[in-house]
Amino acid sequence: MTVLDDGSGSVRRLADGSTEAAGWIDVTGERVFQVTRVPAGAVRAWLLLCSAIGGEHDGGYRRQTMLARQLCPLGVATRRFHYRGTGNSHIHTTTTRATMIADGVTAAGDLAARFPDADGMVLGERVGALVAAEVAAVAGARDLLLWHPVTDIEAYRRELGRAAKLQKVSSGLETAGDAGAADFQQGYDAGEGDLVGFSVPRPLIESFDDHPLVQSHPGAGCAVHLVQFGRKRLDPRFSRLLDDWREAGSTVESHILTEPELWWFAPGPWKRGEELRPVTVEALAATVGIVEGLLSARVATP
Amino acid sequence: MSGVVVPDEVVRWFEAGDETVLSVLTRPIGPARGVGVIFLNGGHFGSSAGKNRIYTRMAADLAERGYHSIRLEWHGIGDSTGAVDEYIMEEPFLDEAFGAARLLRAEGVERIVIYGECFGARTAVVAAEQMPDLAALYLVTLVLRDGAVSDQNPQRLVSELPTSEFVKRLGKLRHIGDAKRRRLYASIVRNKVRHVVQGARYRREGTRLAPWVSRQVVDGLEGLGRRGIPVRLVYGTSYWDPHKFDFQEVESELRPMRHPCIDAEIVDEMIAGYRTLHIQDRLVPMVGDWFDGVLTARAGSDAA
Repeated sequence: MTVLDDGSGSVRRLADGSTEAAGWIDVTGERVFQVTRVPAGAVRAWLLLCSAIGGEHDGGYRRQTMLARQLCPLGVATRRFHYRGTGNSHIHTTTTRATMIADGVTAAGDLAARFPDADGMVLGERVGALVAAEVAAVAGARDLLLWHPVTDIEAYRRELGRAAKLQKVSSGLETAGDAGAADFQQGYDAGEGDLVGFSVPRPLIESFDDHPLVQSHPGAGCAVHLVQFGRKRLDPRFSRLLDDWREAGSTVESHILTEPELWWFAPGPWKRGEELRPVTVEALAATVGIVEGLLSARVATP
Repeated sequence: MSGVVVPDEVVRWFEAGDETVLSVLTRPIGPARGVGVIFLNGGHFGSSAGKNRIYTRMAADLAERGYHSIRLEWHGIGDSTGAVDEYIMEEPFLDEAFGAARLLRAEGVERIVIYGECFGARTAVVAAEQMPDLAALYLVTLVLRDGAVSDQNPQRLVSELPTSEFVKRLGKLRHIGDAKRRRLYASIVRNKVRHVVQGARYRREGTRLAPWVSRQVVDGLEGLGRRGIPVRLVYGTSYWDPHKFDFQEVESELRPMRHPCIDAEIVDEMIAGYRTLHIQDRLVPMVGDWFDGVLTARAGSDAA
C-alpha cells in the first residue's frame, strides 16, 4: 500500500521541518483521501483520526487539522482521512461500517509500519468512535480517544430525528418540528435522508445495527480517554461504557468540556472561523493536554 | 477494483499570498477539451470536496465531459493554512483564484472557466478581469451587496429605512453600553454612509441603480459583458435566499444584464448553501450542460 504521490506538489515541508503529505491510499483498489502530518524529529506516537459523518464531519474537519498541527511539536504524527464514498475519497463506494473500518485499519496499519517504535493512538469523533474502537484493537493502539462518541446507532438515529425537526428552522423553510422530521423520515425510509443538505444513507446507518460501542472493546492494553462536549455531568451512557471497559481491563478516564457542540449544524454559514469557536479551543486544549500527559508519563515510566 | 472509471486526481499545494492552499486537481477521462474549471466555494467554511462532496461529484461529471478541474480550500479552511474571521464581499481571495488558474495552465489547459458560489462568485467576477484566457462563468448566488456576510442583514435594514427615519432612530439607541449591540449599530451607520455616497455616485452617472449595489459587481460584470464572455447567474427561490430578491429588485437597472452573453436563471428551490440533496443532484449536470453549451456555441462562432 502506497500513498499515490507524484512528487510534484502533494507533500509540503514546513518551516519547522515537519511535512504534510496529502493524497490517496489504496483500499481494495479504491482510493481513500488522507493527509498525514509528520514531525521533523523523532516520532514518539502516531494518531489516526476517525471522523464523524455527514454534517458532523464537515463541521469538525478544520478542528482535526488544527489538532494535527498542535500535536506535531509534541512528536506526534497524525493522519486524517475521508471514508470511501465521502469527501475527496472514492466516489462510487457505498459507505458502510465495514468499509469505514477497512479504511481506518489500512490507514492505521500504514502508520504503524512507518513508525514501528512509536505508540499508536486512535481518535474517534461521534460515529467515528464506533470505527476507531475497532481500528484501535486491530492496530494494537495504546490509547483510544473518543470525542463525544455515539455509543449505539439507535440513540444516534433518535438524534438524527431531533436534528431533522430543527433543520427547517436552520433552513428558514416553513415551520420546524414534525414537518421537517417527516420529510427527513420519508427520504430515509426510501434509502437516503436529507439533513440540511447532508446525505444520511439508510444502508450506512443500518450497517451499525447490533454493533454497540461497548462490544468493540479495544483490548485491555489500550487506555480509553473519553471527552464529552458540554453538560455538567458525565452522560450515563458514557459512564456505563467506561465502567464496562474498566471491568474488561482497560484504564479509562473522562473529560467534560463546558462548551457543547452543535454537531450537524456546526459551524454552518454565517459563523466565524473555527479558530475562534470556544468549543474548538476547549476541545483542542483538552485533547492536546491528554496526549501531552500520556507522552510525559511514558518518558517517566517507559 | 470497483470496476468503474474514476478520474485521475492529484493533490496540489500552492502558495496564495502568505498562505499555503490545498487543492485537488482532476484530469479528464478520455480526450481533454483544453478547458479547466475552477470551483470557488462560498463563505461557509466548506472543504475542497464541498458540502456533501458536491464539488467532488461535479469534478467527476466534468472529467467525463473532457474537462480538467480544480477544487480548493480557501486559506483558513480545511487543510489550508491561515485563518479566516469573516468573508468580506468586496475583499475577494484573488490569490487563490490566480493560483488555481496557474495550476490548470501548467496542465496544458488553454481556457479557464469558473464555477463560483456566493463569496466564490464574487471572487470570480473580480478575478476575471485579470484572466485573459477566461471562457465562461457560472455564478450561483452572486451577492450584489458589499460588506461582510454578517453585514448583509444590517444592510437590508439600512436600505429599507429612509434617511430621515434613520436619523430619528439614531437618537433613540438603546443598549449602547452592550459591545455586541454597539458593533451592530456601527455596522448600520457604516452601511448607511456607504449607501448615501454610492447613491449619489450612481445618480451622477445617470442610473437609478439602488445604492446598495456593489460598484465592484457592476464593473466586473460590465467588463465581462464587453469581452463577450458568457456568464450565467443562478438564484434560488426560497425566502432564505435573499440575494434573489436583491437581484430581481435591480435587474432592470443593472446595465451589464443588457449584454447578450450575460443571463440569469431562477431555480424553483433554495440553492444558497446547497441546503437540500435535491438541488445538489440538479446542479451537478446543470453546470456541465451549461459549460458544454456555451463553449460549443463559442467554438462555433469563433470558427465562423
